Amino acid sequence: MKSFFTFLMLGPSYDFEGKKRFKVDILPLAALLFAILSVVLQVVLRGFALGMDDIRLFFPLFLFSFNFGFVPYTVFFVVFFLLLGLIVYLSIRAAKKKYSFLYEGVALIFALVSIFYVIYDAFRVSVNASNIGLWLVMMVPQILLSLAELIMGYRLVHKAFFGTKEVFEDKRVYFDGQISLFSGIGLAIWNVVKSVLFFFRDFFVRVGKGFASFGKKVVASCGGEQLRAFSPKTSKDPLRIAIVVSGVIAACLYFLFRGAPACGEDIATFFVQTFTFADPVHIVFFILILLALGACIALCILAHRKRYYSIEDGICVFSFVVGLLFVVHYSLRYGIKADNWLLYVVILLPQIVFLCALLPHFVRLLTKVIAGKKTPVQEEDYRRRIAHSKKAVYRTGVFLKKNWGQVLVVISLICLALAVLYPIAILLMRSFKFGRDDLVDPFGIPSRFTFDNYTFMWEYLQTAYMNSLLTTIGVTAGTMILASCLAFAFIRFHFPGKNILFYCIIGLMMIPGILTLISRFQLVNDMHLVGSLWGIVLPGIAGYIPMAFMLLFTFFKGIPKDLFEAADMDGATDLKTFMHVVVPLSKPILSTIAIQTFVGEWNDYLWANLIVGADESKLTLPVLLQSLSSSYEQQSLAMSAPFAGYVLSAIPLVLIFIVASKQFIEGLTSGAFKM
Amino acid sequence: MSKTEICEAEEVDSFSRDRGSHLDAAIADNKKRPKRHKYQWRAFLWLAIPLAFLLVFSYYPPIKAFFDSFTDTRFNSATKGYETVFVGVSNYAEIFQDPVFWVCVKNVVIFTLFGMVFGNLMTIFLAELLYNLKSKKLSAFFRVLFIVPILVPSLVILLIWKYVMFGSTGLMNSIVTAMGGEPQLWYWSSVDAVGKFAILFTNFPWVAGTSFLIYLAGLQGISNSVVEAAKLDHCSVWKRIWKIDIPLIMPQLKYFLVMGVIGGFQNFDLQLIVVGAETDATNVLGLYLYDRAFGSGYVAPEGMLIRPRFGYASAVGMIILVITLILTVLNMSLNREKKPKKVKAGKGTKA
Repeated sequence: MKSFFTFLMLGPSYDFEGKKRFKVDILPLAALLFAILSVVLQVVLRGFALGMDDIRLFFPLFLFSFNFGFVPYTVFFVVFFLLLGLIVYLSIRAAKKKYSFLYEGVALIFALVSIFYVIYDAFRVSVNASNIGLWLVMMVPQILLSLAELIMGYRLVHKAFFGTKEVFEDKRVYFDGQISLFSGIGLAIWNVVKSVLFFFRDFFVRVGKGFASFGKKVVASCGGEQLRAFSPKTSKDPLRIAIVVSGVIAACLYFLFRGAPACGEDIATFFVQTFTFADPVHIVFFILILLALGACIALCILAHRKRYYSIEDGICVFSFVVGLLFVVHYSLRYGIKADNWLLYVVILLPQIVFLCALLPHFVRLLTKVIAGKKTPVQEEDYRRRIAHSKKAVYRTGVFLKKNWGQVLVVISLICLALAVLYPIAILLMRSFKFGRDDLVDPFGIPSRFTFDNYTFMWEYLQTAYMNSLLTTIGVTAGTMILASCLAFAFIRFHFPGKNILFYCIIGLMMIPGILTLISRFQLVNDMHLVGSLWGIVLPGIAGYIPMAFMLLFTFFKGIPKDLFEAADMDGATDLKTFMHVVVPLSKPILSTIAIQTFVGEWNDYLWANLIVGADESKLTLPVLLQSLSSSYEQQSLAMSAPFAGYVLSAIPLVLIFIVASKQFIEGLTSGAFKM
Repeated sequence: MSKTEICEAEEVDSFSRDRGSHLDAAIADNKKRPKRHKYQWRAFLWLAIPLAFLLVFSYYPPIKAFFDSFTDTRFNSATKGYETVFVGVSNYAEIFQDPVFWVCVKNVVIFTLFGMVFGNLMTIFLAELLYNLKSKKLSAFFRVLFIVPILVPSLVILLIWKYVMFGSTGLMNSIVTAMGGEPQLWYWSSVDAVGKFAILFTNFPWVAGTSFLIYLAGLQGISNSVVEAAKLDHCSVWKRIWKIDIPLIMPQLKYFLVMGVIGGFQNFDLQLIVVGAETDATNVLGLYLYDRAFGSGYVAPEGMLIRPRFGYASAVGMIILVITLILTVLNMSLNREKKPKKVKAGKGTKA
């Protein structure tokens, strides 16, 4: 039994004098138990059919989800349990290193439940143009809160994977003013009641020094010394600051958007109702929420004055109050009747149990405020102890402090990446939708997927795909062959006018394409190549030669002269030298050029449109996609089919990237020199 | 300049030289030890086909464009057909009197300036973020993320913006309606500001592409001693960016400014593919040219339907060429003036 508790890191807790105070530390255990119970209730009772208002419809559906009949539910279920397992695994790892893990584990389980709730709700009330406001109101506070709790995951991962083993072999640093559940909750609640009584009785007498004397009394009744357990002031711990900030934002959002009652599906009416104080119930809730917020802040300030760190507790207490009001409001809205009590149980019981997990924080905060002792001397003691165990990972500031800026960097990178990738993600998602779904709800997450768009578009685009591949490969091959011939001649031979020719070829890069557009078109027209793929390929090759020549010339220059001389000695012809010496050596630069040309030509719309735009059978991919999309737009058809076409058109580029990502990037950047 | 400069280039060991400055190196080498070689006429066997290509498709068109800009397509009532006649500079005169042309010039200047300022700001910002990210795995991961848009054809990116973001049922409209506004026509809006906003906002946040990799390479090229010195002096991040990073990636920045001018004045993909027609809010020189040459049903000032008007369009092309050349030369000459200073500064820090 003892080893079991040690394993759970529930082993005896110490105070700062190093005296053993409690055999088992139950506060985190209680939180964990409540959280697990809440999860179990959520899973068992609510399942994933929160949307059902009638409980009698709910159970068959629940069974249905266990039958794995509906794929999304099954996936949901499996992922949820996998993640739960992951959290447990992390906790065990951390525990094996003798770190405390319960606080983080519980927070993570909370976060997991919240996130799945958000995802589930997003599926149920899919996000689209008409209800985006509603979605924001419902989801954003939830998301923020779960983010705040997710931060704990960082700490847990650190403990599990990077923590040094057995730092807390003898003493735990996790004091934080904890009291055991049995002696704590019961006594503290009693003391609160008593304090309130005291407060009213002695209000006029003791208004000046009230709290101090209450503290003494409570301390005495609680067992005295145990409450002197000191929690340090670590206000600069960024992890905690992050939790506080997101908690405050979440609270503000709750306050602003939801107020107390999440009434009315229509956000506009909700605002009007709440802010015009039309409904007295709303006003009461409103005032209660405000009072709770004020009380939490006041409690935090009081605890802070005693040098306790209490903001986490404060947030928990506030969410406790909000949750409680939600439960009350919900039961008011639906009313508990004989025929729907089961529904009430299903919806509200998990919520209530969930709230119970927050209750210990309430107790702790009150104890800190009422019974805690201001002990500056012990703070030094604490510092000394911390300094003694330098590798103590639990000092959360240690590993975040230096990476504070890094976190900001990563966050801004994520934001930028989201902004960049969002349109592409939408494109991908919509290309898998049924046309009807897409028309009804273009930005919602589809509940069913189809590959019909792809098969249809593949049939439709085949000719254009072939044309595009032909022209692109033609241009690429032509450019590579001709440019390397040119560069080979410049590197290998001496001929009259070499310098002038060199500058002439390089100078071509300065002439803007748009100037020559018209005369080039006239030229191709005179050659009767309009409407033929040759009309794209031949000018295309000429267009890419200067750049390729530049790159090749620079590269060939680096080939040792000895190789050419050796080839000459062996009596190799120029062609043999070229084929067997130059080409094998310059494979990297040739592939760079190939990729550069391929990407450039695959993207070409303007010229291809001029040359083959009028000929149905000769259209290249970009031209066809453009005309297809505008005809779909004009007939106001669902865009999911053209979107599948867009995705198809990206496949060759993606393939090239997968095969040669390094050269792909080089190919795209090498064209840029500095000035 | 002697004729053997390029020949000498072969003998320069490229590993010891900067890639970009091979010609300077060649010239320098040549001055030291001039040599003479026999001509090898068989070189033209290798040169013939590529040069023929270049002559036909690369040299002939600009020259023809120049001469074409002094001609115009006129309807000959005697032969009932179009014919090309020499008209001197009347094309240019007509262009400068055309109010649409001046609208285009104004728009091009706005779009180019905006694109250069915000495009480079955001790209440098991204490069700085990646540069400051200490974790190498994360950095590589994010680099791949930001490269992903390149894997999508550029036309498709534009079409995504046309239909997904700014379409009638697009994302922007749903945001606007969610905030209580009226759905807009965006690119096709009759309100000048809305049309311009749509054009400018396209491709937000303007970092897609490989340019951030170039900036990143520039940042990583900053010598460690400079960075260490800044650290020792307790230089703040902002100060480091402004006083060290930005001056030291000036070469890249200048490159992008030059390319921004050249590209900005020519580019009309967005207008051609997305907008599709000339509107006062979005029109640019490229589309103006394209429409005069290939657009259907362009009405000339005399009220006669003329198509296609290649001479007039060529004249527009020449004007674009002149503008970009002037701006490029200006930019380059500014660049030249500053170069000696930078070299000194570089030496100073090393010593």
